[in-house]
Amino acid sequence: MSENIQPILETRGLTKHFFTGNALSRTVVKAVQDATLQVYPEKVVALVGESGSGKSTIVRMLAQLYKPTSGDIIFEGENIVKHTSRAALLRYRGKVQMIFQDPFASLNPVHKVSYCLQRPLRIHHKAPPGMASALHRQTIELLEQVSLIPAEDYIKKYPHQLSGGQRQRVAIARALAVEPKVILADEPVSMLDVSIRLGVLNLMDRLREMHGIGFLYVTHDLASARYFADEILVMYAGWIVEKAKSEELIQNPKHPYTQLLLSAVPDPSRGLRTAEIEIKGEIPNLANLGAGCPFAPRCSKVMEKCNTVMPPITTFDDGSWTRCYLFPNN
Amino acid sequence: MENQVEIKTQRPRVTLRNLLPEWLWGFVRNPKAMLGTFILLSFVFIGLLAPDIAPLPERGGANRMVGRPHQAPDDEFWFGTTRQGQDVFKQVVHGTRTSLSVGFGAGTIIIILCIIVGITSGYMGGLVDELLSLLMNVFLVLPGLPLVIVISGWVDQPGPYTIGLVLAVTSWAYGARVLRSQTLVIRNSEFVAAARVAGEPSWRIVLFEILPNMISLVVSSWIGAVVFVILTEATLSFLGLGNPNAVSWGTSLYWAQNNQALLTRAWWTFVPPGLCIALVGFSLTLINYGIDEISNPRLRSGEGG
Repeated sequence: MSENIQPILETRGLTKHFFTGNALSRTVVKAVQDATLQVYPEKVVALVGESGSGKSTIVRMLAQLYKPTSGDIIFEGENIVKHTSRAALLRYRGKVQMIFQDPFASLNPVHKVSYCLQRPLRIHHKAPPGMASALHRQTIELLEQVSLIPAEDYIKKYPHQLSGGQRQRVAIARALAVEPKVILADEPVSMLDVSIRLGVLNLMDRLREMHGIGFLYVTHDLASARYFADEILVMYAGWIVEKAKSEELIQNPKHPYTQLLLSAVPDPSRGLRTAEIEIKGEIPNLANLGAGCPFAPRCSKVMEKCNTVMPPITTFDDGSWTRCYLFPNN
Repeated sequence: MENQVEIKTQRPRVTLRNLLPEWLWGFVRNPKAMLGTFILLSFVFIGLLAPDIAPLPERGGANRMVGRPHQAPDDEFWFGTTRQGQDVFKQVVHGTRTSLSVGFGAGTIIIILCIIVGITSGYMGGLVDELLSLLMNVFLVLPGLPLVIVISGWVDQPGPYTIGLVLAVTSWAYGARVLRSQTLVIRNSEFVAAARVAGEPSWRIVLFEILPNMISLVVSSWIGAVVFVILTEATLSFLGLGNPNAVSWGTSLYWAQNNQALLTRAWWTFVPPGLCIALVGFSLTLINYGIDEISNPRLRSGEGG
């Protein structure tokens, strides 16, 4: 899909190391290493991985909440890591918005829904200054777009008067207020009841279509990624290990970790029989990773060189790629 | 019957509830807060109207000898007289003025210092936090009471306002620590990150996202500081470390003790100022409880959720 369309947001070799401890015993937590990904307008890229794999760190770097240790973030052809003035940052925030995982924590309990939605409108001058009626009208429109109807009822409510799903819709409306081109959705449905997840996913899909917004959809749930995303990136212990189109990844997983992840998904037709792949080991401690592939200790097809050097990217004809020695570099 | 109900709901009624903002309505409905406010406001009025309630003679003020020594309460002297023949009622009324203004003045200085130092330290982090934490620790281990005693020996007979100022400067560190730790918690919450993503500047994040979430803590610290200053000022005056010629509740107690009020059974010289101190402390504590119940928005909306 990427032949002729330019990505709107991309990263190159994005790396984040956290330093903990004191001057005497410093530990480096390698949260994200050499991450390369592209977000296209009107497309959804899913970032799938276990908790602690670095998904949220990538999102927070893209939202400019964390500063990358190294690597580039390119938005509309401009490297935004280099541009750090307040004006540039504000311009970026007007185009790239974020939805947080926990709708119970991401809305300030002391502010009404109207305040939440009107602040971004004011900050990014989406409403003519001094026009209270225009601001009100836009707030109503935003609430209607996220299907909180009748909007007049919601505008004066506090977050604690709303359900989880309603809160997440308010959070989506807040992200939408600045008319963004990219929305970073950090596990937007994982804290919601199963019964309302689909509604929120469908809402995001509709907004993608209506406004041509590109989504980076972070999740640990392969099923929802397959449903919502055009392309899936699989992440393990700070590394993106595989990228492919959603169907291709599900039907024909290449990296052993993706295979493991898929085998862990309950399959009704398989019944309660054990998975074909034996699951062993634990997620490694990111503070003392070896030089090689982080999945090597758990991998059933491990080779000698896996433990010494991280495999390079092997690209396939359809644009998908993986980091594994099972697929020799061509 | 049904008809009646319909008519009632259709008619818009002007009630107290519609006139007040939501938080104030919660305050009005809270019995503890209302009782506390009532007692406190009575004292504030007594303090404000002191010259009208108990007019003072031109010379000598509330300390002037106006009657026989140790006269029991009667029609002329409602609270009796002291050993020096001073009117206890006048002293208590004018003492209200001194004690409340010292308490609220110094309490307010304390809470302002707490907010500035505590929130700056918690929000900025890094070197600023290190330096401010050092400052807080220094003031924490600084023994306030002995310091005031030393200063009172140094400044000859400090008045209640000097004592209040010294108390304010020496006792803000505890509250600042509390606010700092609370700021640290809130700073890392997702709604602060969301405000950053929305493009809010730092000063707005501090004032409109973080501070409103600590309002109950700030108000309770403020009230605690006011109680602390009133009690400590009374204690120091009682110990004779203040200016004995000043008119405050503590000084009244000092003179009662000095004149052996217990031995002479002149209960009217120490019960009124003592009761006043207790009542003001009680009322402020009640208000504190009330605010605690109201300020949490989750507790605030008992109905209509």
